[in-house]
Amino acid sequence: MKLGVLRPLVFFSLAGLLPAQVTYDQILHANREPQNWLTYSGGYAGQRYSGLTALTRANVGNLELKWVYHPKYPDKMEATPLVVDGVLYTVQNSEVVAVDAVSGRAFWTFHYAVPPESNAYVMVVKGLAISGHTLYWASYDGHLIAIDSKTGKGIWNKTIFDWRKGYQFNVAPLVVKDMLILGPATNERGMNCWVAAYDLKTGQERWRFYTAPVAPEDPAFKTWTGDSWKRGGSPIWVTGSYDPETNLTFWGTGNPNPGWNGDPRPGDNLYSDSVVALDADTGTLKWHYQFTPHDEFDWDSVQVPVLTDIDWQGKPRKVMLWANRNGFFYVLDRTTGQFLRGKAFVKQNWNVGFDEGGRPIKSSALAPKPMGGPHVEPGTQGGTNWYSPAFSPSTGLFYVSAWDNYGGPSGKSDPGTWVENERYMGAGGVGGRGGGRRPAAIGYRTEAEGYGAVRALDPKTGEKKWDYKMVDYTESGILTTASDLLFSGGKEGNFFALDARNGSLLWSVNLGGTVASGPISYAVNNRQYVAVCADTAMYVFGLPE
Amino acid sequence: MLQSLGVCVLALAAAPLFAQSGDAAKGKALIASSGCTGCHRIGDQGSRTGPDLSEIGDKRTAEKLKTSLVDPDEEVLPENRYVSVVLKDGSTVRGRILNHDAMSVQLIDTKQDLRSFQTSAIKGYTILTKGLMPKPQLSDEQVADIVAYLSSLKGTEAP
Repeated sequence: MKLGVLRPLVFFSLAGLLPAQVTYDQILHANREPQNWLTYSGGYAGQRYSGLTALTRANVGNLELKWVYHPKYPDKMEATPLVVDGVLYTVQNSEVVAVDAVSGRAFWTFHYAVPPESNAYVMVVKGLAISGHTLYWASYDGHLIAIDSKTGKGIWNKTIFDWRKGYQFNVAPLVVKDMLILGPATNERGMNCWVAAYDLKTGQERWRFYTAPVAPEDPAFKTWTGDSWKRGGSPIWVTGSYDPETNLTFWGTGNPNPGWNGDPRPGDNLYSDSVVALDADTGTLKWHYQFTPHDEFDWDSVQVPVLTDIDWQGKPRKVMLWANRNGFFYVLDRTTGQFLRGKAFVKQNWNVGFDEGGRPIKSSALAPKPMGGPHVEPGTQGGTNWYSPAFSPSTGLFYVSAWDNYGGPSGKSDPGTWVENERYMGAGGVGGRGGGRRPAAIGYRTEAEGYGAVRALDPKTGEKKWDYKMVDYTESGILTTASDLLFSGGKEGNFFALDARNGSLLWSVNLGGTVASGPISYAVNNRQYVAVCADTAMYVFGLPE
Repeated sequence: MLQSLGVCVLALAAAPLFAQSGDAAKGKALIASSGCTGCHRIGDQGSRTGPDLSEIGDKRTAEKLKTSLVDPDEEVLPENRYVSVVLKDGSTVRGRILNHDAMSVQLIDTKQDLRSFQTSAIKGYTILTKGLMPKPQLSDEQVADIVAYLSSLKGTEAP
């Protein structure tokens, strides 16, 4: 009888001693616990850098497969998992799962049936957030869901928007203090999007910043013409960053609508294709920089803002590094938004320079964009896209998944009349179909016809330091480690490790499907692992026991 | 006359009148007697090293077929390109490229063997987009006959 009484007491006592699983302070200092991966990008600075050093350039060639996770839903996996104290959390389609990070065995699964019709493409989701003992999932259909990280039981489920109006959630939320920050995408539906903060405990909205105007009083209103602002789009596709020193959170925004035809919307179309710097407590806009004013090429600024402090022309400077879909690598002062440099990192033909304020000067051959498919470089896929870049404090280099020597006919057609929850694009005309010969399929392509690369850039000069060339472009993000390893992958299924200092190949494996997520690294019991998703599964590698 | 045909390379569009002007039976005989199948496959006959012509009538117009015969280099479809691989042991392998990426090159060689080479074993490789099929010496009538035959190749349901 005594034992019968004692057991629950002991259990209760141990449970009571459990520290909060993930505190704000832990996320703030994520670099102090490299065994964990606490946010989408591994830390607030968006660097996707692991401080782990057990894997080295000397032993990485011995990596072997440890386990594979196949979600119930066989959709393309783009999610970055989280790892906390030996438990790995990830999400796919309608299911969140917690698994043993060493063996891959599931502890629990949480199911919420997302209506398949709520996502026009494949059912992809970028990941989760965690705070305390609670996981947060933004589902495509506009629900913000809190889940107990120990049990997998739902805590609350709030409807943020009606997906039938043309919204969807795609991002992994960002936890800042006691808030969850994120925004919706519109997937060419022309709905005006936003970045908002929600209370971690209740899901109640704290603030909202619209990335396209919703009223004439909005300062961005004057950058649109007529009532075009009502279809402003400017979606949020990728998780932002946070700078605790300035208390600013930075988010990249997507294209305006209709995306390929700017005729109905003369003006710069703020805050599309921009980075917005918001006060994390109030959502007040502190500054913005628009990478592509009046975009007609779908050059979303859907990249993770990468923050670091570097020596800039002899003085320390707090900067933001950004390789944009429009083909330029930018350095901005993240405290003021001042444009410091924009330098093409791939072949491009749309920009002939920048004015003193950093505004791009568009080529007269492409602007105003003629109807019917001018040849534009980079092509619509961009010089890069949503795939996470990386910055290594060890090498001082910025790494980006690039597609070079690549262009194509950009279509422009009559967008027609906007209809709720239908695509409002203005694309698909002559250029979209491409007159003349079709481009070579990837497997037969010469380098002059376009190639993908992991590209290392020097933030101080904008110069390329090295390339790891691939035939195809890649949808893989990039991870670097403190031992100067770089992990990335390709569309053909290759997953590989490079020497981050010079790009030489150290190890590779073919996973049989597109690598379309950012790799992460974590450790359990001092053993380092690397996790990456390829096609519909997640693979975890480590050194032999 | 077509004895030296290497890899015929054939393409798309629409000009049925040209095809109708030739004699398909004569064209078939010309193909059979001229060594075309030394590189091309039609049905269950011929080599796999060049483009398969079994359904070429569905894929390319008569005008494109004519162009491919009289000026083979005018347009080589990307999937019909060759690759010349020089290995570190000094040997060279040529074949129709099937794929290539950062790690490897795959091809079907001139013996119809599927080959895959790790880039670590390769000294260099070149993708060949021209000179894959020599210009045949054909009369206009012979060209029309061959085009008529090729245009008639519509393929069959896959088993």
